[in-house]
This record gives sequence, C-alpha cells and structure tokens, in this order.
Amino acid sequence: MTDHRAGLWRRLTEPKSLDRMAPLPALLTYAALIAWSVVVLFPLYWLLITSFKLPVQVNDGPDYLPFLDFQPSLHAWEYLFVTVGSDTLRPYVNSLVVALASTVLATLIGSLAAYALVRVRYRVKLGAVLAFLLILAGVVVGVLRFGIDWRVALAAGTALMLLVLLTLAPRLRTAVGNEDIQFWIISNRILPPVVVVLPIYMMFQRLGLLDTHVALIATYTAVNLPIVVWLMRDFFASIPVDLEESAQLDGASRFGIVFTIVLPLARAGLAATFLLVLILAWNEYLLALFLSTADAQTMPLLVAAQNATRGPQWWTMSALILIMIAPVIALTALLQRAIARGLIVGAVKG
Amino acid sequence: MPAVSVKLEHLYKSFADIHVVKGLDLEIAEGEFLVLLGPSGCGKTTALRMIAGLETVSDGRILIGGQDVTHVLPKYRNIAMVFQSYALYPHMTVAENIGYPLRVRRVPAAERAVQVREAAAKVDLLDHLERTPRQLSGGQRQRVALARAIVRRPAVFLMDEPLSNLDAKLRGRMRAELKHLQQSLGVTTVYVTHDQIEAMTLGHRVAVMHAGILQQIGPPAEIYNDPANLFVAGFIGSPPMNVIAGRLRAGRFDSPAGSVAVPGMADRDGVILGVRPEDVAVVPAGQGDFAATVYSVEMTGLESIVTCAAHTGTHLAEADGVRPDPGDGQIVARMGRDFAAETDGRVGLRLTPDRLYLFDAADGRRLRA
Amino acid sequence: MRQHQSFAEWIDRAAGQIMIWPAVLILLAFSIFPLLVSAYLTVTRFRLAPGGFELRYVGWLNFKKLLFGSQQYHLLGTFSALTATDWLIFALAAGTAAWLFVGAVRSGTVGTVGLIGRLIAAAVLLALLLLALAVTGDGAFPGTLVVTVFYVLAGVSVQFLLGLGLALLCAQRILGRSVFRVVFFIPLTVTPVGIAYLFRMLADVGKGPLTPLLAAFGLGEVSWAADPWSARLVVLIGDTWQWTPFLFLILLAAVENQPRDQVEAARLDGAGDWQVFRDVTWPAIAPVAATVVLIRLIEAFKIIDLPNILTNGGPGIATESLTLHAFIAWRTQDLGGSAAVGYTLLAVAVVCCVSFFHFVVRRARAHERP
Repeated sequence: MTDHRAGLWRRLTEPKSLDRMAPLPALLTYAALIAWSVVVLFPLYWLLITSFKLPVQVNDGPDYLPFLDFQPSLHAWEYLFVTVGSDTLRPYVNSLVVALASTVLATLIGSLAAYALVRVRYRVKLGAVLAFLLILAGVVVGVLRFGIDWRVALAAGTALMLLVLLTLAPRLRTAVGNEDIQFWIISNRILPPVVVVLPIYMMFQRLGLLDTHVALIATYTAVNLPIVVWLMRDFFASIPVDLEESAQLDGASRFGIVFTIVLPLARAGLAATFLLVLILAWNEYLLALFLSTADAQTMPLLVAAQNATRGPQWWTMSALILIMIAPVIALTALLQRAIARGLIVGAVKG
Repeated sequence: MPAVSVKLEHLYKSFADIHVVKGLDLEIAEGEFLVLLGPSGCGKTTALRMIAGLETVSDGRILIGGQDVTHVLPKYRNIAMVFQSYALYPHMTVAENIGYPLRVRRVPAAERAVQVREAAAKVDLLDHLERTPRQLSGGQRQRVALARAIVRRPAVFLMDEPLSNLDAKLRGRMRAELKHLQQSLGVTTVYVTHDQIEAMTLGHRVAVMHAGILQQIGPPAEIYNDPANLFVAGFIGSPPMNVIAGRLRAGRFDSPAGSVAVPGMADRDGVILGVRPEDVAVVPAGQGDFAATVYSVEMTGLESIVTCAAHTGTHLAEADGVRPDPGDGQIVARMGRDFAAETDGRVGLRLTPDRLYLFDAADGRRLRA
Repeated sequence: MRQHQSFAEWIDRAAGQIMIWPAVLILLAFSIFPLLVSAYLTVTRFRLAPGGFELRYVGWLNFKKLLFGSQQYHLLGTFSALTATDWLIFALAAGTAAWLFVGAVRSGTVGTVGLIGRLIAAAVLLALLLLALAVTGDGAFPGTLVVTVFYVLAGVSVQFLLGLGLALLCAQRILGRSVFRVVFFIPLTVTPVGIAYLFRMLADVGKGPLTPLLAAFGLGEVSWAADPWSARLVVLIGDTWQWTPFLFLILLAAVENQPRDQVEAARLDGAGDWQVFRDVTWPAIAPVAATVVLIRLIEAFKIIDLPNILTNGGPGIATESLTLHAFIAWRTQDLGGSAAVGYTLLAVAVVCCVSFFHFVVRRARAHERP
C-alpha cells in the first residue's frame, strides 16, 4: 500500500521524460499562469462590456454577460464618435502627434548621444561646468529676485561664460569624462516631473507656447531622453568597432556610419526603446495636465475628464481607454520579439 | 589607378605614458608588398592604423603618394583595409557589403552593380552575392572582405592579420590567392602579421618590428640569411635559430659544449653564437664541433627535427634580445626524414662553417668580421 | 564644389560635438534650468499681480510651514508618542547603521566622499524610519511623505516577487509561452489614468463585478474608500497590476538567458528545483534583477495618476503621494509650497535611489565585468 502510494506520488511529481513537466508541477504552473491571466484580462473584459452598456445597466449593479445579462448597446461609441466626434478625435490626434513626434525625437537625439558617449572621448573641464551652473543660478536669481529683464540677464550670463571659457578654462586641470556625462544624463530620470514642471510651465507661458503640441513634444522628448541613452548605449557598445573603422576607411562620414551601419545593427534595441518611450509618452498624464488645457489636450486628460459633474461616465470612459490601448497592443504584438531581446541587453549590461 | 608610394617619417605613437611606436621610418615603393612582422604588442598594428588614419599620430609624418596625410581624415587617404575580423556588415548581403564603398561615394546603382560583379569575379564569389555574411564559410568571408577592398581601386591596401582566423589548410590557399591578387592588381600593400611564413612567402620586403622599433627591413631572403640582430635571428625561422653563449678567442668561438672556428673575429667576451637548425648536422659521437645527447627526434614526414642536449651551453627558444640563460643548452638540428638515433644516445654536432652568426650578448647586436 | 567638400568635412570632424550637444542642451533647458528656478521658488511666495505675477522672497518659510507649521500634518503627518517597541526598532536600526558605518571606516577602502554619502544616506533613512514609527499608532496619521515611501517599498517589493515568480513559471517547458508573454504585457500599455478609473469601477461597492463575491464574505457594506488602509491597498493593487508586467518581462528574459550548461550540470549533480534556483538561476539573474528594481524604484517615487483619480487622495489625505501633494499645492497657487514639496521628494528619491545603486546594484554587478 505504501509502495503504491509512493509510486503514485512519484508519477505525479517526477517527469516522464526530460522534455516534459511532471503532472503535478505542470498543473500548478498552468493554474498560476491562468490565474494571473484572469487577473490581467478580466479588467479588460469589464472595460469592453462596460463600453457596450447603457448608463442604467451600469448603475443597476453588475451584469456580466452580454446578450444574457444585458442587451449591448452602441450608445457610448455613438456618443464619442458621432455626437461629440471632433472632441474625441482631436485629443486622439493630439496624442498621436505628441507621442510619435516626441518618441522619434527622443530616440534619435538620445541614440546619437548614447553612440557618441560610447565612441567619442569627451573631456569637459569641471571648473567650466561649475562656472556655468553658478552663472545660470545668477541669471535665475537676477531675473526672479531683482526683476532684471531676462534678455539682459541672458546676454550678461553668456558674456560672462565666454569670458570664463576663454580665460580661466584652459588653465583648469580637473575634467569630467564620458562616464560622468553619461551618469549625469541618466540621473536626470530620477528627477520627479513635478519638481521641474512649474518652471517649464512658466517658460512656455513666457514663450506663448502653453497648450501647444510644441510644448508637449519638447517636454516629453526631454523627459524620455535619459531612458533612451540608458537603454541604447550598451547596444552601441556591443557593435564591433572594426565595422565602423572599415566603413570610415571606405569613405563614410561619422553620420553616414551611424545611419547605415550602427543604427541598422541596433534595430532590436531601437524597437524596444521606441516602444517603451512611446508607451510612456502616450500615457503621460501629469505634464499634460500642466502644459495643455484645450487645444493640445491629450487622451489621458480626456479620459480623466469623463468624471464630469454628472458623475463618472463609465461607458464612454471604457470606450476611450479601449481605443487608447488598441494601437499600443497592436504595435507590441508586432515588435514582441525585438522587445524581449532589446530589453535584456539594456538591462543585462545596465 | 597608378600605384603610389607610402612613406613614414619618424613616426611616434604613445597612449598616455606607453610608447607603442618609437620613431618608425619606412619607405614603401609603388606597387610593393611590404610585410610588417613582429610579435604581438610590437606596435605593428598601431603603425598600420596610423597609416589608415584610424589612430592619431603623436609625432612624425605620413606621406602617401608624396602628399602629407598625417592629419587627413581616413576617407580622403584613398586606402582600403582588410581587418582581422573581416568587419563584414552582418545586416547586408555580400553584394551590398562589396558595394558599400561605392555607395558612400554615391556611385549610381547600375554602375555599382557592374563593379561589384567585377570585384566578386576576381575572388570567385559570383555565386554568393545574395547571401549574408552569416551564411558564408570563413574563407568566403575573407574573400568578401578582399572584394570590398579592391572594388574601389584604392591607392593602398592595408591588411591586418587577414588570415589569422582561418584554419591552417585554408590559410595556405588564401595566401597564394592574396599574392596572386596583389601581383595582378599591382597595388601598394602593407600587410601586418605575426606569422613568419606569411611574411616570407608574401612580402617583397619584410620589416621586422620589436618593442615599437624597426629592427630590420629587407627582402625575405636577406632577413633570413643575414639577420641584423639577435631578435630578428631568433624570430625568423622555425624551429628557431639555436643560440649558444660563449666567447671569442683566437679566431674561434669557445663555449663549454665545444668550439668552432670563426675566422677573422677579434677576441671578446659575452658573445652569442647563432646557428639555424638546417646548418647543424648530427654526427657520430666524438666527431663534429659540439658534444651532445639526443633528447628527442620528431619526424614530420619531410624531415626529422632532432633536439639535442648540448653538454653545456645555451639555447634560447624565443630569442628576445636579452642575454640568454646559460646552462639550458638545447640545440636543434634539421635532418633527413630517414634519420634515426636513440634517445639519450651520445652524438656530435657539426655546424656549417659559413652559416654562423655572432651577436653581442649584451645588446643583441650582430658582430661582423 | 570645394566649399561643399569642406563643409561636409567640417560636419564630419565636428560629429562628436554635434551628436552630444542636442541631448545636453535639451536636458539643460528642461531639467537643470527648471531645477534652479524651482530651487528659487522654494524660498518665495507666489502672488498674482496686475499684469502677471510676483514672487516675494520669504526665506525658508515654505519649508518651515511644511516641516513644523500649518502644513506639517500634510507632509509629515500627525504624530503619536513613540512606544517602547518603536524605540526598540529604531535603536536596532540605528545600531545596525552605526555598525555598518564603523565597518566602512575600518575597512579603509572607502574614501571621504563615500563616508559622507553613507552618513547622509543613514541619516535620511533613519529619519524616515523614525517618522514612519511616529505616524503609526493610536491617533496618529501618516502624511504624504510616509505614504509615498510606503507605496514605493510595498509596491516595488510585491511587484518584484510577483514578476519573478511569474517569470520562473513561464520559463519552464510550457505550452503557449508567447501567448502568456503578450497577455502579461498588456497592463503596461494602459494609461495609468485609465487604470485608476478601471479599478475604481472594479472596486465599486454595489455596481462592481466583485459585489456578489464581497457580499458572500459579508463585506458588501464596507466602503473601501472610507478606510485609509483599504484605500491605500486599492491604489497599491492598481499600481501592481500595471507594473508587474515590466518586471516580469525583463526577469523572464534574464531567466531564459541563464547559462544552460550550468543548469544541466547542477541537475546532473542531483540538485533539485530550489537548489538550481539558488545556485544557478539567482546568481545569473541578480545583476538584471538589481537594475530592473532600480529602474522601477526611480519611477515609483513619481506616482500620482492612481491616487489622484482612484481616490482623489482621500479619504482626507490618506492616499496622497508627494507628487499629488505638490500638484494640489500648485492648484491652490501655493507655488513656493509646491516647489518645496517637490524638492522634498527629489531629496528622498535621490538618497534612496543612489543608496540602492551603490549598495545593491553595484554589488550585484561587481563580478560581472571582466
């Protein structure tokens, strides 16, 4: 009897062959994975059915199955795309423009910087950096505290900086190198947006660019730049330098090399980085809240706005969230392989 | 493209405090195949990379075709380079790889295709133009790299150990192909290697470098037969030259293991005698110049390499210019393939009289009569 | 023609500068410059004035108000007297910190900067601990600082454990691995604002899908939104739902990347699952794990969307994060206070992230580079 039970236990816990899982662990594994899938998918299912419900059906208490529990209705979709069509479309287009433009810019500028940090040697005099910060602080205080016109202060600051560069800097010894520049760029990501958003708000207000695409694109580019540098630099470092030197001898310029050799070879990383940054820009809320009000309003703000005076409009909100997720998921499915490969290099070499 | 000359004038290169190339002077004639030979770390690759413009020059000048290019960007030097790793672009097909130099020069696609086929034909790659480098064998990759180098008819070829990633058999074949290709194109070529066989077989002249300094330059036969110093003598030849420490007295070289006549030499101490294995004959005990015991006999098929332990003396496997350590005396002789001898048997060694080289033990300088 | 050539050459020679300057300039304009302006804002009071606004210099009044004055309850919380247990915990922590510090001094390998850094890190972390102890207890109430740190610590650890567990399960020989991978990725793509509403919908008592379930447990009448801890828990669940995929995805890639021959060697030596994990998998993925936790840590401090929309920071200020606090201050035109809260967040985030980088990430990667 004990023998038999031991045999049964063994059959359950030990695999029949090396390329198969034992029944019991397999069962538990699938149970756990399916459980988490439910956790992930059920909320999305709820979104989907809620978007087809009438207000009265939502407020009545939970209905789970369309056609059985309730009769699906297109009214939320109709409301969004027909009744207030342009009010839905405009933020959607805004989000598309802002997210795509800022992602392209951040990926491009960040990749160039990451590449340069890997392949070009920089020496920046520490003294010059400190002088620059001091002068900048002086300009800020001068403008804000003592009411000096910002153009005057800027001109004076520039002149002072040039003076420092021409006279003092050549004599200074201590310099910062690539590692320091890289650390500085990446560490910008630690900066909570809320710390810098007030001055950025004031800056764009001065420039008359509040509530425009430009303001959002520029800010998102800046905010996501450190991630691009962080993720891309290891891709570039892993490309054999021989390839670039060979291209150099063959007559290609630095930029030619970057665009014909380096970037194509790093495309897995580029895809992963692009997607990650795109998701961050597409979903961003806080900065948009400060920098856009009506004309440049993005989708997250529109979703948030569905919490109107009449109480939350769950049905339209659900539909909006769904049309926000859809393109990202499509893109993710397309880039899936590249992302898995891309993320690992960035993270592994971190 | 007419062949051009390359001239290095007093070239220096240092990385921080490390001096890699120290005052290199070289003149490479139009259409010449020059081999830079030396052990790893001798500065030969750095010198090549300076010619290419991939490395800045600390001091000195580089002239290509009589023009000073010391500070000219690599792409304006009209140079093609074959890298040790081949440096093929993995995301491009063979045709795209070969055509890349033309593409960056904005050669129209149609013309490019013609030239790519021409270059590919020269290295026998026409059947593989649409493959990617990953699908090719080592030798084929090597050929792609060559085709990419010749496609734009450069003034100078630079090759950095191009054959070192191939297996022995393929290396022999590619060597012959390279030589043929260079001769038929007549392009000035600088070839870096640490392999003396490649150096001897390929080069019109061989420049031997050591520790950043040019040791000797000349045709392969001259390098082999008339080494300028102990380093060159020891580096060239396989098995390497035998070296025996001793002194000169009354026209003879004396060492504890024996003595041999070297006519016309003045008396002095601290002398090293060098003799190549093929100039050593194993003779019955009691005869010859040196007394020794047989240590091992290796039959290669073509010949027998006989390693003998001289009764006292010296041997330096990789002569590096320093004073050899006396007492470890092994002398290698190259004998016919039917040579037979018992291990530990006593023998005599006879040296060919006019094939002896004498060096100053202190600085490795060649001593001549 | 000559002109053209020399221009192209100039571009080529200056490429190193041309490539780096856009990034540097953007960061100067959007982070260094704003950081300085913000620093100035912390010592001023903002007032609307005819034709714009004016900033009046008030010294460190903004910080004083937050740390000791009328806003203390908001940032730090309401204190209760520390109990004997609280003191014991704090003494233990302080003792450990002192012991580690003495060890660092003794080792002689840590420079002056390193020692000062360690002192600052220890001071900030101990102060946070003391604060956390002081605001938990009868009649006490945590402020936004402790709540934020709670979100970060609890959120990141739960997400890491879940992500690692799922990654290990998914790395086995299972069917449909790529399906699971895509499904698990989805929450990452949903805007946090959407997640907030979604969870508000799901957690709704009465209309939410869980109503029957809660009723069965006799919880039907409990409103989670009215209880501070259950409200924070719901925020945490939303955060976990969103971010677990991120950790899962990267950890899965790391697990799949572990040296196959080592696993096989360990199996041949008779190691069980746990031993394989402990001796092969974990050492192989530790560097990635440390880095990905650091990335998550950096982002976690910025939490705002979820508490803002899910609970409106309520009940009271129970679920408010520092970023939300700063945002609310801004909305009430207290720009100085807003900047001061922001700087508090920056200081805490920098100390925590830099400490984590030095003491965990660096160490995990110590024997990685040849």
